[in-house]
Amino acid sequence: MVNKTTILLTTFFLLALLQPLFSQEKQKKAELPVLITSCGQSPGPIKMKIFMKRLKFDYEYNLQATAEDLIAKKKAGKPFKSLIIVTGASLKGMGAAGISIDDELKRIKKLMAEAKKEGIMIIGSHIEGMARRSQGAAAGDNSDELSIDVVCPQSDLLIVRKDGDEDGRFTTISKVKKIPVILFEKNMELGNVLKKLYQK
Amino acid sequence: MNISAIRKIIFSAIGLILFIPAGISFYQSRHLKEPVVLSPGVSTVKRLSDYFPAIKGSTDDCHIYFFEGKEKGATLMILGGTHPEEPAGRLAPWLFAENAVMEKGRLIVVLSANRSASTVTRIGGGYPPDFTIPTAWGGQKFRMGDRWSNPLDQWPDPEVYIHYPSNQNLAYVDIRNLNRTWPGRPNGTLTEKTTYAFMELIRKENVDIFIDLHEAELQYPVISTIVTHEKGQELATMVSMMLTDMEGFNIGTEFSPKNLHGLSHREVGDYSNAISLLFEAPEPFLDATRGKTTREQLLTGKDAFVMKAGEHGLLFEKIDENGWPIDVRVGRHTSTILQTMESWTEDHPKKPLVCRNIPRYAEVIEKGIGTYLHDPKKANSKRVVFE
Amino acid sequence: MDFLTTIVTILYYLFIAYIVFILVLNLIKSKTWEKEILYIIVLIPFLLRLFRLK
Repeated sequence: MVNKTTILLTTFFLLALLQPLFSQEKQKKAELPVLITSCGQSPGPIKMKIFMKRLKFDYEYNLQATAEDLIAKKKAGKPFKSLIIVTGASLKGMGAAGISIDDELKRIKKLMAEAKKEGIMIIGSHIEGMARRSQGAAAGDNSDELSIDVVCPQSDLLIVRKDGDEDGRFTTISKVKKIPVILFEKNMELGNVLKKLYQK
Repeated sequence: MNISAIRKIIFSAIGLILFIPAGISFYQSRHLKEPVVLSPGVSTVKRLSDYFPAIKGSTDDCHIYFFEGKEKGATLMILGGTHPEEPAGRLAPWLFAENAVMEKGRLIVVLSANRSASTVTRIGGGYPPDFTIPTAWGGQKFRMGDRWSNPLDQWPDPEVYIHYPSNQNLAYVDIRNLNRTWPGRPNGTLTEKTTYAFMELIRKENVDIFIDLHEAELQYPVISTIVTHEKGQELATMVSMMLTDMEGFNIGTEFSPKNLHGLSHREVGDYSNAISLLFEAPEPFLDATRGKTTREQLLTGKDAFVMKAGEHGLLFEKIDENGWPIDVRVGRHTSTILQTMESWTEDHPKKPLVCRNIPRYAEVIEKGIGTYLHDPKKANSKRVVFE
Repeated sequence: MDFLTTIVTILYYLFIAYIVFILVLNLIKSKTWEKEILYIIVLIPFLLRLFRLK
């Protein structure tokens, strides 16, 4: 006859074996050094830079980073381990840089292809809310959405400010493409998000 | 006297009946005195001509208010009244002029940057000549202005305005737009001389942060935002993040385009050591789709026509039946200025900026702008200045 | 530049004064009430500018 102790111990061991199925997926970790760039030349990347500086992380900030920059870093023996691409377009920003949204998308596609080749983790982000999506765009201007389309479905991780996901755009990409997404509510929470992401 | 002559006399008399009251109204609004009851924090009041004598005696020779902190620190300058048809751009610094006390650092406030533009309203715009902010003693009347200097002070406009020194071609009328004539020149038009005088002030007083206050129509994409020179990108971003998180209103950031000349956020940053920022708040009164152009619309920001434009996706900022009251617009500006001081001080502890006695966004909305204006009749006459 | 601007402004006001003069002359010579009303309406803004009111 099986006594109570045996039943309890057996249950405990079974639960221990099955526990990984119930536990939350551990947050993906990223490594430094990180390259921060933009797809659309919006002011968003500055937010990333501010927190990287405060956290004293090893980062490089280049709004017009190219595949050649990744190659050069690798050749110098200091390859980037992760790449943060901040989506959201600014016609003013692109105008100032003398580029069009098509130029941006071409650059980012090449950059992402090289990053994948080198095994660099790609983090797609959208951190300026709906003001950097349809609400902030003139009629007929879909440059914000184009930047999201190119970057986010090809990313290894998404970091998104929650109010920019009002229509479920990013959570849908995450579900369909099986890409983990980190949603945060307030701007100042981005610092903690990056800290958890990069701290060992 | 024949019938024709009598008829001409009658018509001329009717013409005079139209001309005289109109003339009186225009004259009175041009010369309306706006009292400023100086805050105890105001240490000196100078004139713009102290920095560039060539504008002495002109309409644009405005007052400059200095606040010296008890402890040394950075110098922040608030420029109000670049476009006097944007009243929050004058009223927000007015609250500083009548209330601010600097604990650390120095503050310089201007209420009528383009004073000439405050003496005229938009030709053909049907603007009210003035507006009144309700106060404990009844109300304080302010001049309603225009975007451009008064044609009585600077006229005629050229066929094409060629900006100095970039040689960029801008709209002809913008030769009278203070926010298109930076950095100015000493031998230019009145408006160019005015911006030159301000540049002299900024350089001589070693201004660290320069803030230009504005309002914009909801159909304009640069709205509810801080436009920043590249020197101020991190500061502006930090301010934007803190305000959006902590004070319940969204304010974005935009970078000043390097190839668009004449604007303060570009030229002040390029021609001085100051970080130049420009704050925009929403003002439905300026929208081309607006309904009646009245004092009520100006102060409440309620407009069914602008709302309709919103329903058709033509706006870059939301509007509902609550409109955009002047208290909300002024509160946004005062909070943004105070947050700028705080964020700057966080990163520059050896050059702080600490100001007290200024209400933030929620407080301005709760208590109203009038709560923070003071009755000039009860004040010490030596502490009352007229704009 | 300053000197040229001043000269242009003076010339402009002389031109306005001349237009006012021409309008008044035409008002006096006019034979129809429609034209008289038109001259009065057109005169008003010019007078406002000449007297530096608007």
